[in-house]
Amino acid sequence: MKGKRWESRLLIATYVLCFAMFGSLYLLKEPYDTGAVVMAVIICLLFTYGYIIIRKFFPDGDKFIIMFTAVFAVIGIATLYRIDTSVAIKQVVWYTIGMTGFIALVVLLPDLKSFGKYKYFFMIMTLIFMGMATFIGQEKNGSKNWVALGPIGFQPSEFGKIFFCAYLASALKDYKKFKDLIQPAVIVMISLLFMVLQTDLGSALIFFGIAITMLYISTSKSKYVVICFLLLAVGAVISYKLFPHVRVRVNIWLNPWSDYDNKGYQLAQSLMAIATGGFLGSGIGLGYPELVPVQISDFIFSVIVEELGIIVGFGIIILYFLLFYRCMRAAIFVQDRFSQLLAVGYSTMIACQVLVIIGGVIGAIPLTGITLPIISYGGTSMLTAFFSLGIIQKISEDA
Amino acid sequence: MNDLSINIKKVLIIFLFLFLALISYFSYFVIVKGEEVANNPRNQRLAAKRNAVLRGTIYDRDGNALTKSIRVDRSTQKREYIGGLAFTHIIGYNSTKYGRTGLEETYDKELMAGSEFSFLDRFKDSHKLKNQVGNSIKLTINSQLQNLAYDQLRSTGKNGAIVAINPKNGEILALASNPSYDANNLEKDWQAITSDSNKPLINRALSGMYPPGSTFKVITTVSGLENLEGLDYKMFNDTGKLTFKGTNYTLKNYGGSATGKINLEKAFYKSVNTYFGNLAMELTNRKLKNTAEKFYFNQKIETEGFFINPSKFPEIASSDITNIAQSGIGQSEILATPMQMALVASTIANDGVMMKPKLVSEIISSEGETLKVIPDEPLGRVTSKEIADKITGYMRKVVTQGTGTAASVSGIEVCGKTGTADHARSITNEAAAHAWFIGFAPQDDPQIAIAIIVEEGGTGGTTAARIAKQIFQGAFK
Amino acid sequence: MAGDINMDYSDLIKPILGVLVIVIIYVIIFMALRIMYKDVKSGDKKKSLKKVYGLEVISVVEGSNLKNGNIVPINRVITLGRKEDNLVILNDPYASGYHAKIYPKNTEYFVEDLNSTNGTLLNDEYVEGRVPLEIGDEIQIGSTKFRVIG
Repeated sequence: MKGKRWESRLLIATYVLCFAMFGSLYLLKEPYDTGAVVMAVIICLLFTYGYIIIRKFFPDGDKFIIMFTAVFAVIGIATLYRIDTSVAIKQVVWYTIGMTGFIALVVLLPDLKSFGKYKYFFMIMTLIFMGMATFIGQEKNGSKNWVALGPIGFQPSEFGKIFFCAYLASALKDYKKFKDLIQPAVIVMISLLFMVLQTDLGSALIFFGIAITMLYISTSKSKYVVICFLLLAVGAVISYKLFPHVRVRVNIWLNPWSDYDNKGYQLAQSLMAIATGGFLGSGIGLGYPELVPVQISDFIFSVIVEELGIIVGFGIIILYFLLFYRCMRAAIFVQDRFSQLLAVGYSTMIACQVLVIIGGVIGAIPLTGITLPIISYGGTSMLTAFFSLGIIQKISEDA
Repeated sequence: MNDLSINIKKVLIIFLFLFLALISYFSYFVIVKGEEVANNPRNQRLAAKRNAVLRGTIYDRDGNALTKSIRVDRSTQKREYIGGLAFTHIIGYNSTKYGRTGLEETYDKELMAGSEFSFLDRFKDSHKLKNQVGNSIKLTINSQLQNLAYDQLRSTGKNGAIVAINPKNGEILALASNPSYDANNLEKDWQAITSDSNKPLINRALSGMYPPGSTFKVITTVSGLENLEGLDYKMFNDTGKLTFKGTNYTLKNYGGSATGKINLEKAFYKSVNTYFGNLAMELTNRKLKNTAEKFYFNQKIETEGFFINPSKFPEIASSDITNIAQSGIGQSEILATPMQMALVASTIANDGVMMKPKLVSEIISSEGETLKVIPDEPLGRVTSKEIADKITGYMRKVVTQGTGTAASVSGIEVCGKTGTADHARSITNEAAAHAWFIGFAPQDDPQIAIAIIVEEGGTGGTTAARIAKQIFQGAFK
Repeated sequence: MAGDINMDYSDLIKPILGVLVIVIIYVIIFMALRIMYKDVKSGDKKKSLKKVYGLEVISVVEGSNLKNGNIVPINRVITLGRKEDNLVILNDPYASGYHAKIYPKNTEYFVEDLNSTNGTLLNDEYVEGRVPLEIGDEIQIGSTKFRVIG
């Protein structure tokens, strides 16, 4: 079948990407770094395996989601390997777990329509996860959004996002009149409040984005959207006046060098890294990722752009949009309203995440502590991303 | 179900716009702000990239090195200024903390050539890439003369500057400014340097603005000869002072003496103020200003690698006769840099053609290959050879029988003009006047034109002329 | 240093790999776009060439509003059951309120049992979840039978 030939070409292109990046890393050190080649082989095997399972046993679903995640994984792990090999190894483990979860979801889940009725369960879980960090959380990187249970630490708001989307999908699927919006509105506001209290403004922005998108999709009424934006504006102004940490973020965004030695350092370094790299980058291994703080998660985009160039930065943004497009497409063709809203919710979640973090590190919007899906290091981040994509993949099967 | 699909498509389009906006901002940032951000002095990446290239050397005209760069480790190098304090203002310094000045600044790109690795450079031999040395620059400066000039200034114990140029090609042979400072010890001395009221950071030769005093009479003479037919034959009765209707002011000769009936030549070599005050009034401010501007007063002199502060000649209302008179003798609001006055001397020496002053003659690659030769360039014909010759004669008389005899050197025909310039503090008798000397030698085929100023040094004929003698002797040794 | 002969091959390969990375990312983007475009184009074509299936009534219960030989075209979702908001209303006592649904998807047609009390039979086998339909299949709901025709 003709289509199959192009798909396998795409797969081969991804192999080439993987070996090109790891090949550069191989040649970087003296003597040559065979670990890089091993990594490349492992990753290629992993995503090939995942690809085969999905395509062979579930040929009706979307074929691009798994391929795009492979591209992101390759870019991410190669960059992490460049920064610190032990982190890269951990990321491979998370990638494996993520892929496994992805496949498990597609294989094991029954038709998602049946989950639509657990509205109250989702609501409670959302509130629990959103509030968890406020009550038993610790501060990490300026936001109080980390919870440690024994040896395992995680970001509860990430899981909260998953239940948030599920709750909104189940609450909005039966929308007929304004009264039906009151309960979800309350939950949304409580969630946003928790995020603001935890000073996790990036997540707050993402939740807002998800909520407003799902609102518009289910009600088709633009006036609700306008009202929400006005509320956002009001909320933003109030929080600016009320919370010093918001003022700090805005001031640093406008001029990171004004507080270079303290709060502005991160953004300033990110901008300088990107500017120094130029369009074609400094070259793999010729950049200075050690100068950029939080380089393995929040600022990984800056590290990539410094060494590989701004052109690659554009490419990554385009790829994320294509992923978003494929995810939304699944929502278009499916019949059941709950599944549609769920797919929209998770797709928007990923898209907003990308916009907020890339926007933040290039200085388009104030900086927040968000990760770049799949590329950034982080177990919670990976799992959330693959979970959402798995659900979307499953939904696309039914479409 | 389908209305949801339409909504979803709308949302897709909105997000498409958001992503495009992101890419647009990204492009804007890179294209508009990228270079500025990358060159931010706090960007250690650029410093590290630059440090991959060992900074090039600055040589004097005879190939003696005035700077030295030593590689300390993979990412740092040390810059030493081995020429001595005399060269500090010319060379400047290159410091991550205090910035870059002088030729270290204007020729930074050449000195660090190769550190702007282009994309294609990556394909070149990496071993060569790892041991890059920047280009070198060769100055027109003569080290012996430079050191002599600087030492002479220091021996006066006062602030001042000396400029020596070759009138035929504009090559700057010496450019000294006192006080100077040690560029090797910036960190240690910075507090002292910046709080010193004598302001050692200023290169007085290029930036110092002083009333030129009687040295300006050269220009007044040019203006007179050009505008007033037969001026050199007319006689003038010097009574020792000029009075002005409606004012209390009198313009006196130095020392109050009167020379009686004199011509232009005698007025010149005896530096008679009344003559030139009167001449300025006859010329009118407009004509004298015109001539001054031909000599590049009020203009920017385009030079490579250094900046000369434009000298100033004022526009004076025709009713303001005292100022017009004073402008003829180089007072009023006239301000000139030593470089400007050296160019005046060199123009007369060079038959009326002013040559563009240059400090750097060649740029040489680290392997000794000449990359660029800076050519001689005339700035223009300022006055005729005939007039230049006449004035050359007058200036010779200044040294043989006029106010500048202290500058005479046996065996060399020195030409000059002294100046004793009043300034704010000398008028109130708080300090002595500025001592000036401009001149060139030898008369028939000038090789060197100079300007010397000693701030608050007294009379030009003593302090400055004496130094001129030393300089000419040193130049022709 | 005149003529450095021992130039490492890695010196040439390194920058080439670097360029390759940049290029391949865009190759991937273009390939993906191309496939997507082709899909969209061929998807439309397929839809218009698709065969239209129908349900022929072959056996009814007494007093049913349906008659043998009635044909119901399946061009969208067909719901079958006793309740009146179904597309095909069955007066069959053994039929549930909302018994089953038949619908097209992509290039296929499916029958799906909606958790009915007595189940739906496809060629005398109980339907679990959704099952694809072929022309000639026989569907039985209660005592009412349909055949799939093309």
